[in-house]
Amino acid sequence: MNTNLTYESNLESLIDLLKRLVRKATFSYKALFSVLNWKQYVFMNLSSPLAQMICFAMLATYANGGGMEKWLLGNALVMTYFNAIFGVGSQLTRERNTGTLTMLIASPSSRLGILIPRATLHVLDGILTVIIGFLVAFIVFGLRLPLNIIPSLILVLLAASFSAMAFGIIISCLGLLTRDLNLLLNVASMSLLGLTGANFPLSYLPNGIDYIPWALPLTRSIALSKHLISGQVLSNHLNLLIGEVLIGIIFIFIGLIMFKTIEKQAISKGTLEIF
Amino acid sequence: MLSILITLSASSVQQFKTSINRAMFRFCVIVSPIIWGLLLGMIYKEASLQDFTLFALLGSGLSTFWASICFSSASDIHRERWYGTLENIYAAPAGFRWIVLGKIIGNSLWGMMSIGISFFVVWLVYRRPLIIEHPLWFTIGLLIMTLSLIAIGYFMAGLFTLSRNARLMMNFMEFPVYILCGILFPITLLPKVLQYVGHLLSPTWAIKLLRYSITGEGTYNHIYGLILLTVIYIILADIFFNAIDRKCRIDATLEVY
Repeated sequence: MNTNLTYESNLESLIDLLKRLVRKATFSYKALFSVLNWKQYVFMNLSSPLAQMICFAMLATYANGGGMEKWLLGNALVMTYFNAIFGVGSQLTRERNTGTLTMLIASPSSRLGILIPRATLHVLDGILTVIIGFLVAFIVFGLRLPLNIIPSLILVLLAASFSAMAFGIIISCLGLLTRDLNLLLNVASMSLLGLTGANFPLSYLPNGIDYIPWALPLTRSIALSKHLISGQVLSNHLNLLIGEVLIGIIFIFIGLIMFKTIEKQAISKGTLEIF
Repeated sequence: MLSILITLSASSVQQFKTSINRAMFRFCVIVSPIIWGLLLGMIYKEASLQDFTLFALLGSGLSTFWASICFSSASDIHRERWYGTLENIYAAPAGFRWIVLGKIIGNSLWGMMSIGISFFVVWLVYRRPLIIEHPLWFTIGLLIMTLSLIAIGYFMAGLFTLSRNARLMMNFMEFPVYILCGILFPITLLPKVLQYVGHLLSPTWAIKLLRYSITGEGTYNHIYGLILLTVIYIILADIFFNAIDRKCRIDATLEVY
């Protein structure tokens, strides 16, 4: 009897937690994009990433050769950074600009409960953008993926979106330390575009900085997608998939520590809204 | 004529000094050429010297110049509206269109510097010899291309002021122009229809002229296409500014639409 009660109570708590997650995620996403009509959404959130994907896939194919598929796949996965950097990465600064950051800090909600919902819908939006990217590649460039790799690619896409969003949380915290958010967002996005292996083989990088891509999100997913397209199976490269998820978890913890440190400093010095 | 020149000069100097204080513009003309130079240099690392010169060296400069046109010159009127200074410069006796053109020239001076920055970064980091077969044509091509980009900025400033929907294009048009004009790779990779569309944009002709100056292949006749399109952009810009003038006086909506 007691076991049943405990089970029901745990289930209710879990459902409540999920409901709160969905509610918070929806609110924060609407706050960001509800001002846009569908035309603005298409031009700002879809067209620009798609145009970038096409441009860089053609550029990388021309410069490096080796078939367009792998460059299209790499650049499609890279598109997740648009939501990660420009959506998640600007969240906390947006809260500060609208005067709600102090209320968030003062709220009894856990810091994880503040950061994760703000990234959740961006993960889904990023995945949607990538799927549209695949469709465009299918229609315009005749990208044909073997059916047997689709399930593996979906897993790779989920892992890539997760780690990119987790990276966005770190950027969001860094945004609280600078007035120059645009500079931060653009440098971060260009770094992901350039250093994740989407547009040139990582072996081109000089010694000494060739380890940097492996400390970034997406690098492992892009490498894995290239293995899949070359006919290899996911199970041979599980380390890359696990690595991508792990690096995402590490980013979330780093983000949490940064947020708590900034919060502590801001409370002791009263400087949260000054930067 | 002298008063127009004085207006252009004063407005461009003022814009040159103030635009760089905006973080996004600083990113466009200083940081972005460095990143683009490094990125394109790496992508074209194993390519031929001609491709490296044309697309890594020149492409990085042109792409950042174009981005500065997209994100600054084209939206300067809109920015003035946000500052609350649009009415003042519109009513100034010096002439609204000359003030706007001066601002675009000021931005373009920074755009030329961004080309210099990316050239320097690519040369410094990759240390590959640069091949320019006809340095004189290269210089002429760069100069006329700059004038043409100023004309495009002027044209877009007018268009984006007239239409809010057109302003939506601002965020979108960066990469399509790189693709259609062959700034980062040859347009011969595109389907024929898109190549024709690309030829309606003056940077395509500028790239062809610069390609001739670098490789020595082809002809310098592309200069005529470049000049013709530049003149068309200026005429269209003039029509747009007349329309803005008319619309403002009839509808009194300068600060609204």
